[in-house]
Amino acid sequence: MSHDELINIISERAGISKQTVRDVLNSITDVWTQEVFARGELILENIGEFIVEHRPGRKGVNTETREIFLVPPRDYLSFQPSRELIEWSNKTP
Amino acid sequence: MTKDELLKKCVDRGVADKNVVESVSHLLYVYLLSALQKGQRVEVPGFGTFGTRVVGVKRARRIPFFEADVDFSERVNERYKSLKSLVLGTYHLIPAIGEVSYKGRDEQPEMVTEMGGKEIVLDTRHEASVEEFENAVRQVDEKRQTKEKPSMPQFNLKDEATEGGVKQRESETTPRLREAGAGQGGGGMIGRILLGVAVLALIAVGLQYFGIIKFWGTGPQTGDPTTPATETVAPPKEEAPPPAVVTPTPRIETPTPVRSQISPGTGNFTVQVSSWISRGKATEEADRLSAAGMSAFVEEGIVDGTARFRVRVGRYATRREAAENAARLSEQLEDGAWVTRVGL
Repeated sequence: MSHDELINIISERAGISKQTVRDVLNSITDVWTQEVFARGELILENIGEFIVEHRPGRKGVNTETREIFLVPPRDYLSFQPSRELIEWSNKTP
Repeated sequence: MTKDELLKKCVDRGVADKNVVESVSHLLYVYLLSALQKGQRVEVPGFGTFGTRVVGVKRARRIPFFEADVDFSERVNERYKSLKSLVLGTYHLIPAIGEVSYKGRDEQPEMVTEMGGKEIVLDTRHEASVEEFENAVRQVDEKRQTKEKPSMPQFNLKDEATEGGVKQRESETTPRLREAGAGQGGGGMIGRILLGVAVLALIAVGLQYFGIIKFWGTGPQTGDPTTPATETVAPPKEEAPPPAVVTPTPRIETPTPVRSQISPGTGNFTVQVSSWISRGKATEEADRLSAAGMSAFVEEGIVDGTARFRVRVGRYATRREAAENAARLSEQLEDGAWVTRVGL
């Protein structure tokens, strides 16, 4: 489901104009991202946890080209789905 | 931070009323869950994509996943954005010797390679700090600016590695690969043409060999027994009167009917030089030898039902005489020479 489809469905269902739905969705995601940057984690009820994790740099060896290289460290956003979400997604619709 | 607090933040931004924000966020959750139930993906721009992937076979189940947007994940990783993966060098591994050895459960794996007679230990699980990375990147950048070859920064390798073994061979190997690729691409057409020519030549040789179509040569090989017959019959007749003592070769006719061109001479013993499947090769060889001043001739025999053309030199009355000449010949020739009887 793309962003536009989501906006169409929500605006039809709630009877709100598409532009306001779009603005509200953008503000919601913006609040989420700001939360991630500020705290390093975001917990949504019934959906899961978004946690910024650190992957340390390491040394890699490419056995085909016989190269030794350094892989830089990296911060990434991990997602741990909640138990409810896993149960939900496995229920037959 | 709870859901209500997040919603309150949204409302505080003043985009819409509280009811509108609440209903939109509620519907967002509802459609997110229903789409995940159907196995669909949901794109939330500026944040990421939700979806499910199926795990397991017997107990197959859906596990929800989330992929952050590229911009979002780049902003998350802003601290290490400038760091790039850095090639330290290449190692040369002798295949029979190189092994990865795990010494203990908790110890780090070591790749033991032999490199110019020196052993190099690389720990592949090393955790590089940011400072080390920045220093290494800066070193390479400075050397690029001064247009020098970037040598290997000493980074947790043993000294032997940096001194002797590790060579920067990437610059050498890549052009070779490119050349090889280009050669393959260009040579396809020529290869096909050459293959076609070779197949045609094989067909022609086959037709000529079995005598179906005559492409070259004076006559069909299997055909005329008359001309060689005279040759073979003639020598014994000539031989018969002068040497009454030595019996002319009577056995020629039994294994090889008529075709062998036996040199005019007496004696049952001869020296064999080589043996050929094709007559042309044998005659060539015999011509070569006779041009060198030897009395070479070709004799045909049958081994296991197939014809062999043997190149032989001279005829001798006694085995000892033949052996002396064979010893002399084998010094001159590569393949050696040995004594046989005429007609064998």
